[in-house]
Amino acid sequence: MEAIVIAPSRDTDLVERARRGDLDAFESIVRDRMSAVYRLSLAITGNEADAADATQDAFVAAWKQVRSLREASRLEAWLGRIAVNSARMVVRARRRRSVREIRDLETATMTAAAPSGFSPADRDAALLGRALERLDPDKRAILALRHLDGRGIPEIAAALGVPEGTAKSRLFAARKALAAAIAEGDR
Amino acid sequence: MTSPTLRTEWDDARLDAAFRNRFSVVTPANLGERIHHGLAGARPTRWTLRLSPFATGVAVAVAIVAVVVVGSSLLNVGPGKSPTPGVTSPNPSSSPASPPVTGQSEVTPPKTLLRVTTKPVSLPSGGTVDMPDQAQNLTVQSAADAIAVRDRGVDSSELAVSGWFERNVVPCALRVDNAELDKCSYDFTWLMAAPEQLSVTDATGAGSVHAPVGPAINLVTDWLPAKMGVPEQVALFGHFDDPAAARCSPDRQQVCRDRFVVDLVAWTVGSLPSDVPGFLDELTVKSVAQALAWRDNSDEPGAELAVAGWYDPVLASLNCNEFWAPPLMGYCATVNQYLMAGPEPIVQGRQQAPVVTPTSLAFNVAFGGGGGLQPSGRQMPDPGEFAPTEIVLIGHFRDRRAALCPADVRQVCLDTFVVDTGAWQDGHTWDLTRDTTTVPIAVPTFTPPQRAAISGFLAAPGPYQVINVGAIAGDQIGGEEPTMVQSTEIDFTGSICLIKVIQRGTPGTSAPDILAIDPTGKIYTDRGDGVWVLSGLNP
Repeated sequence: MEAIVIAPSRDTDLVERARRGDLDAFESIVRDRMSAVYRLSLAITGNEADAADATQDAFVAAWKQVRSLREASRLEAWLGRIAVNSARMVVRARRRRSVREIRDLETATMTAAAPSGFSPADRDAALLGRALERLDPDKRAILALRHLDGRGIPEIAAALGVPEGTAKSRLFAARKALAAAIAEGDR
Repeated sequence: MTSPTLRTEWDDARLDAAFRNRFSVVTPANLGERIHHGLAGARPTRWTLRLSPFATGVAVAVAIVAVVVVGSSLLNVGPGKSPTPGVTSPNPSSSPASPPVTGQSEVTPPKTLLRVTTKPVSLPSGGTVDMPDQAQNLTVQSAADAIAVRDRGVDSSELAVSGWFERNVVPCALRVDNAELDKCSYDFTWLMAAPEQLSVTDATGAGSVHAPVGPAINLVTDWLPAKMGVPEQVALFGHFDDPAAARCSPDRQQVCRDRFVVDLVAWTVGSLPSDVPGFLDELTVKSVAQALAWRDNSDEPGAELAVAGWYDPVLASLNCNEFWAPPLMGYCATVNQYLMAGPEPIVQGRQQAPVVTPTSLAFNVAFGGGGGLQPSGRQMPDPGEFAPTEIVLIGHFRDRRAALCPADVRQVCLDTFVVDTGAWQDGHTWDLTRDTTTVPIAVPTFTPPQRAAISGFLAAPGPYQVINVGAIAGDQIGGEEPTMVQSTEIDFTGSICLIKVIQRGTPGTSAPDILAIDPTGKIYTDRGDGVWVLSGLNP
């Protein structure tokens, strides 16, 4: 998750207690990481409602599986993997819906198409948002893990459950696709 | 990590900033609360086996398939169904399991269809028997193979292991249990690679239990096979190296790590409980597994059945504020009531302790009268120590009142076994005489002719078992029994009395019937095609 500094000993204690079924301890973990998981979910789903659903699903799934987390040091990778999977599942379910929603982010993107009055940073964000819309969830996920969460290749590989070499090549492909999407959106 | 395919100005730093800017959003205000509610409805499990829901492909090429339904809900697969028609497993019967065990809370088993394939294996004593081969996606290992796996260096991976399990009376009365994995009884609980008679009674009648001669692993389970002193084939899901071994004393830790903690009984040949009669009230007594097979595969799933199993009388006060609810189903009062295929204690520690979902083959039961907790007019005998008791219950699945259950629990309601009467318990046959004392015939809205008709009907001899008596306003009867409003004979003014009956005593009897009594006291029946006719059942 993005730049959250939490004392390892606190994590160790919380994870150990959660593994013993202590819901309060797990909810402390939730509070520490809810925003980061939500933002990651938002980057993958591109939709606030879906991101909220995915975040909830991720933490509920994590709670059910908490006993599979044997080492507190693996918490970030473990939770990241669950969060990515939950977001992908939500996107997959959304595809089955027949009605396409006009989402908040989408309207923001539409507004951003007229760049006057926007700072360069805002313009970049709008371009990025529009470009991400053109990518599939897997590419959005790996890009978000890298550029939103700030994870290195080993952490991305752990979160996606793939070898490091695979993570590296997927990230390369995702960035290539993003570059093309940005270029197309910037015309 | 600048990609050459990005324009030069879109380097890592710019992308990082754009992502942060783009997704620097405020978390929805209610998200924490949503997650909190989601967590409250879930609980951790140590069950890590990946069961594919309804692995239908497995069955095709297999000679013998035994299908076992188990307890509750962990893997988010659909509600359980049960054995398939044509199953030729050696009496595909009960499959109880244990509430383990570990330092963590109890295992919640999946309510799912476990497909277990079997193949013949040779016995040391000659001959062959069918033993599990595949359980879901796991190859079922023999006890000997599991020992080899364990001795290569234990880990806590989930394993499926088959072998023989004998229920004994263990000599543990005088020994104090230590850690949760180091109970005395576990020293005498084995899964054997080959069937051995471990219980021995000498000429004086004194009994003893000896350790297996052949390969065997110690089990951590409270589940017991149905019959005493008879090795029974089983397949178990479980694991070595449970974390709770750390709480064993230093000199016993290796013993504890080497024990196989049973998470679920996946398969057993099963049998009726000891001494249960095979025929009661003109019905063939079925095992729990057979009853489930009937429920899920029969053309007449609502027929009257006699089912033998174990019942652990759960106190209504246990975490239950809804026991006043209609005596069906999906409500607190009934979700904790089970008829189980084995003697599994499901109330741990008793009193205010939570009810543990059986890990064994089991189904919910609801008692049709007396508020849903007891058989109508009869106090369920209390075994005293709250231990599960052997019992035969007569009742039916697919009760039509399930239509009144909320949509999200309707399947639970349909799958609940509605008990019409107890027939046998702990060696004693119950008096099956219809008892009317709890039927609320004194409801004020009933007219005197109705009360007279009800009393007359209940007093009259006949093949009908009363399931429930209730009243509904005549102008609302269409919501309850819509076909009835087509009748021109029924007087719809005031309350209509509805008596639900079932024809008992005849195996294969079709679905429950309903009687209606109008304010004038006339009795009508639905003759089965939606047409209500004046009944000759009672003058």
